[in-house]
Amino acid sequence: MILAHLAFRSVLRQRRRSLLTVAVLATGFLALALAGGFAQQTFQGLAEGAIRGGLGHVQILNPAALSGDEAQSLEHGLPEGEALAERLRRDPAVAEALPRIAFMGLLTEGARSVAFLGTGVDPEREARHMASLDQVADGAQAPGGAGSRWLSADPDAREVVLGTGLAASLKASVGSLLTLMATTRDGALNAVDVEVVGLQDLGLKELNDRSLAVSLATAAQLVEAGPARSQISVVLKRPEAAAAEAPRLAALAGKEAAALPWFERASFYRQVKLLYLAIFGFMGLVLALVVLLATANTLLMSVMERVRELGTLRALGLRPGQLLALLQWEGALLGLAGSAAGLALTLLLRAGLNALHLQLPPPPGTSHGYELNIHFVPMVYLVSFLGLQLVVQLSALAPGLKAARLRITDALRHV
Amino acid sequence: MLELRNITRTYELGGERAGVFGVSLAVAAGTVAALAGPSGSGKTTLLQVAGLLDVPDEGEVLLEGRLISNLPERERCALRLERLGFVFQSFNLVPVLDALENVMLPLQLAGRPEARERAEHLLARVGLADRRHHRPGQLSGGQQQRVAIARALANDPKVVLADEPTAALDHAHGEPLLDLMARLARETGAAFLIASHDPMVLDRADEVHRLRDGRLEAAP
Ligand SMILES: Nc1ncnc2c1ncn2[C@@H]1O[C@H](COP(=O)(O)OP(=O)(O)OP(=O)(O)O)[C@@H](O)[C@H]1O
Ligand SMILES: [Mg+2]
Repeated sequence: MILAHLAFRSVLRQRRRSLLTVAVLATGFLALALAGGFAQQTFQGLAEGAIRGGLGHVQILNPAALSGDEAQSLEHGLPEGEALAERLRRDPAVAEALPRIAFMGLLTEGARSVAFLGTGVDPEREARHMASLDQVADGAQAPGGAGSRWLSADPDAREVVLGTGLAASLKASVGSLLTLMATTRDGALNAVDVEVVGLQDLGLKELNDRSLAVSLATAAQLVEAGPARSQISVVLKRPEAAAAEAPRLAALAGKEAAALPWFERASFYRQVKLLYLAIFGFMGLVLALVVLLATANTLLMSVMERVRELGTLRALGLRPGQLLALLQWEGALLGLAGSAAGLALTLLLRAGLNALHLQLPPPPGTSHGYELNIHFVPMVYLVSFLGLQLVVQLSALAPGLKAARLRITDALRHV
Repeated sequence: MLELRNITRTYELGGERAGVFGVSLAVAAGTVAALAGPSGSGKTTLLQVAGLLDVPDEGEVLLEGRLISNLPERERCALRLERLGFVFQSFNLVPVLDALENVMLPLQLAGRPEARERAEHLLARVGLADRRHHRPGQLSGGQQQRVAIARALANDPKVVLADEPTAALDHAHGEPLLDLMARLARETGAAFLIASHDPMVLDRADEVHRLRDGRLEAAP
């Protein structure tokens, strides 16, 4: 502890230089915490988007569906999908199992036809667990106008909810009557007449231009699915258990089915995550280097100015390792002060920016902007602190070794 | 108490060899020995070897009859902390610590629980009880050197090595300091070896060793 005390006093002695170093460290903390918070927030948003966009926490599907395209709907499906979903719902870890039918076809209105990607969903269950309701009517901003609504639970209703882009290309709106055309499981052409009940903004332009949703009953009729389903999206009671529960659910589903945690199916999420890790990793590296050089410089100067004092300490009986430790303490104290100042700065800036209610433009590939809201993520602050501290301790190594290696006789002669 | 046997420690200086050559001397417990000699005669070199700050090319250093000059660095550090004390020409107090903390430092490094009490006691013995919370910069040279003496005595050393302790002080401050060291040598039983060419030092020494060009002169 005497070394810590000595380090504390020495750091205080060079007040201006220490303050400058602390300022560099605080700025480093701020940058790390903000960038980390931004990335974390984006990941969270994307994860939620993927999960609530239809994936659920675990996807149950036919492994053959992963390898390639289906020539026909349900070619690689779950033949007893409805029964399987019922079994999954009884599992204690499962909050809900949402069977889905994926199908492609043409949507026609009079002479106009557009290709679509359709999903048949259980209207009631889907609305309870997925984002479909928000997408149809996000508060007052319903993309399909005030009359826009989600699919009704009535199995006899033949309704469709269209992506906004798809609706635009057909000039369809709520109330329009359209025809869905698709091939059945056996390859025969089939058609069902549907009424547009709502428009849906899925957040991505590419999806809005192609997607539509119908009830399972409608989809089953169109592709003559019978009890077969394309996938089952499982919603777990504990979302963080997705990876852990997947193998168990796979066993429950039988040998023709695979169970994948959501992130293995969310390719966009994974791409963004990789991209961010690369960008922020590089930024972090540059930042670490700046912090390393700034701190090492400060501590090296402090060693050079104290050569005779350090020699005296050695003469008094301090071991070389204790001088190394002394410099580690000096670095540690600078790091602690820097992180503390950085944390205060970050929280202040966060409060200030959030109070401004800034409206941000839509991120690339997405269809609407959002309000800037920097979350409070203690984990990011902790990681920033630990990372910074590690760098500071590393940067104290060279000055510490320099001090430890001083020859006492030379150091004492030093003026 | 302290015994130097045939110490040689040389430096190559532009083709010439300088340093000390084959010096032997001993200092008894409770006495003051002076190491006299003109500038460059090797006083500092010899003290550094005696104080385990430097390794001799040849020869041996013995403390209480035990050979200590060939020990590994770790043990040399422990001996410096607990058996040896140093007083330097320019005081060399730690500037960020006050007088009391400077004296406490070796005690704390040695893990002595009574560090504060002992340091206060030592400061009182060198007459600085009322200055214990002054930093070195707030003390006169003489006062700083007294703190340095208290620090050197902190862990009850067997040997105190002082390199020109009065050179940075005027006569009025140097003289009482020397009296103090002579008294402390007797009271603590430590062996004091003081390098100096100050006649005041030589007057007070129990024994005087004279160096010239790195070699001891025969006693007159
Ligand atoms: N690190 C060194 N490198 C080279 N030569 C040295 C070194 N240390 C001492 N010397 C030389 O050794 C000789 C003795 O030096 P030393 O400092 O021991 O003398 P001194 O008696 O203490 O002198 P002073 O009274 O000036 O302090 C001198 O010639 C000096 O130049
Ligand atoms: Mg000298």
